[in-house]
Amino acid sequence: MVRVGVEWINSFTDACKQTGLSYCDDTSVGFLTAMKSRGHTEGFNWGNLNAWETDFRDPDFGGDDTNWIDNVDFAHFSSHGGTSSENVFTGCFGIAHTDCRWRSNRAKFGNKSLKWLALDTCEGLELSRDVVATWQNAFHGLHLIVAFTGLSSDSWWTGDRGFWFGWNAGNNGKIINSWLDACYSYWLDDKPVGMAVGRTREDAINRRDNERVNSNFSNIPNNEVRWFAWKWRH
Amino acid sequence: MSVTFNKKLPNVPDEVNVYELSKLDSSSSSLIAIAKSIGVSGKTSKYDSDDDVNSYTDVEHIVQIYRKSGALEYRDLEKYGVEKTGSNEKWSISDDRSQEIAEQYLKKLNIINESEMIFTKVTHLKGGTYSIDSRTTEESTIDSGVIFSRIIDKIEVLGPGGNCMVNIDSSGDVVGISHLMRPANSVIEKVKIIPPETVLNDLEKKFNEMEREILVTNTSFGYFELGKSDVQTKLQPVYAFIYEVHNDGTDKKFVSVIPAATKTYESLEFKKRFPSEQSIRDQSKK
Repeated sequence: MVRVGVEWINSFTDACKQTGLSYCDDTSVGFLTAMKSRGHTEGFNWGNLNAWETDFRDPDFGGDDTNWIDNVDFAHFSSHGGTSSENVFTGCFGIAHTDCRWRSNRAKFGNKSLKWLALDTCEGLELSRDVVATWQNAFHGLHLIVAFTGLSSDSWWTGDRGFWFGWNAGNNGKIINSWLDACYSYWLDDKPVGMAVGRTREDAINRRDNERVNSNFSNIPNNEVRWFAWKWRH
Repeated sequence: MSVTFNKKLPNVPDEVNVYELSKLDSSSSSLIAIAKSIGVSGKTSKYDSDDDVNSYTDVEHIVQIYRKSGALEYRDLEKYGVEKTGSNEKWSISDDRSQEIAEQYLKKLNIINESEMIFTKVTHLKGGTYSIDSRTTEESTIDSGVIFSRIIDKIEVLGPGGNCMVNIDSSGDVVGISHLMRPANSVIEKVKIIPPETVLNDLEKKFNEMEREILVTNTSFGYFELGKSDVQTKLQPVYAFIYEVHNDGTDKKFVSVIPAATKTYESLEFKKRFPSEQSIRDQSKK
């Protein structure tokens, strides 16, 4: 059984002004609900003003992820996001605690617990940028990230994707396949991506294609990560 | 602030039929019959059921039917979404060949109304690798996903339902199917269509209130079919608009589905599935 934490933001204060969203609770809480229905446990469920950027930021950069995102096995985040031309991913929060935005260059995931990270935002694994440069320094034991390339939809008709991802992955389905199945939308052109790391090419591909929550793949320290493997439907 | 339309609405008819939809058969006997025609059988196979899904599995395969919608999914658990490593073979199946394999397979399974089904496109599951040491990136093709959609009375069916994808691996084997096309058997009545200008005026008012840069990437008219999570009993016409809202490097895609008939039979959008009430987080607690 794994511990699950979710953070989601639909509403943004004036200080952190963004276009309001409607279904980030459906995607994140749907994921948590499905995981719990499979016997996994809830670490936390922080939404809107309760979701904080410091929960994702590593203590080396002044954050508190050791008590939150890096204190669970599986984390799910739904909000606005984007990857800059400098290959930095930014996730948006509703209040400034202490910033409105969390950045991938302030992340070190897996140096405590986190194995799997789901980013239900736009451009979390942006293939038009350098996806390895964006995330290489965040893998400190983290096994894989699932996210989107391009813009992802905020809509009632795709709001069940978090639930079906958790329903399959929580039942020991292959994690990245579960994400691609739940999130791909031909109709809305939503393009999910999954990326894993490995010590060798075969190891990275094997983890990408076959890792499940009960797989017992080992954690790889950042300086031993030699390969990245990702996949997406085009 | 500005609103840009990348695509104009197509011409729409003055009136269209509204259809009664039949529920796809999600019974255990139907599931097992489909599973056996796919080749899932043998001593190790077992039937399982929960609130959401009925499933039939053996060691290498799973076939499942979503209870509310009747959506069907088949996966080869060993091969679906898995890259063959240790082989230098390049992807060699043309899109035309993929389409042919998919059409033959669907015909054999008999789960498609051929008079409604149209081939739409071939997608590919792509793989990428990067070596930190050699700083090289390689790309590969893992499967082809052949998509079919649906046309009724020469009107396309939009939405998360009303389509089918067949996944074919590098050996040419069918390793996955996702299918949801609720049978449209009987016409309830003909309904008049709201003129597109009326809908566009309302939409532009909504966009103007948002005070953002808005790019409408797709505008469509068609029947609308819900996804695998939902019960649907009527097939009605809609206008659908997919649009992007741009804001300081964090953009988002939204969709607006507006009933196109002067009479609406069934809601196409329901309450949230997983709303979450939040009490105030105690800042002093870790």
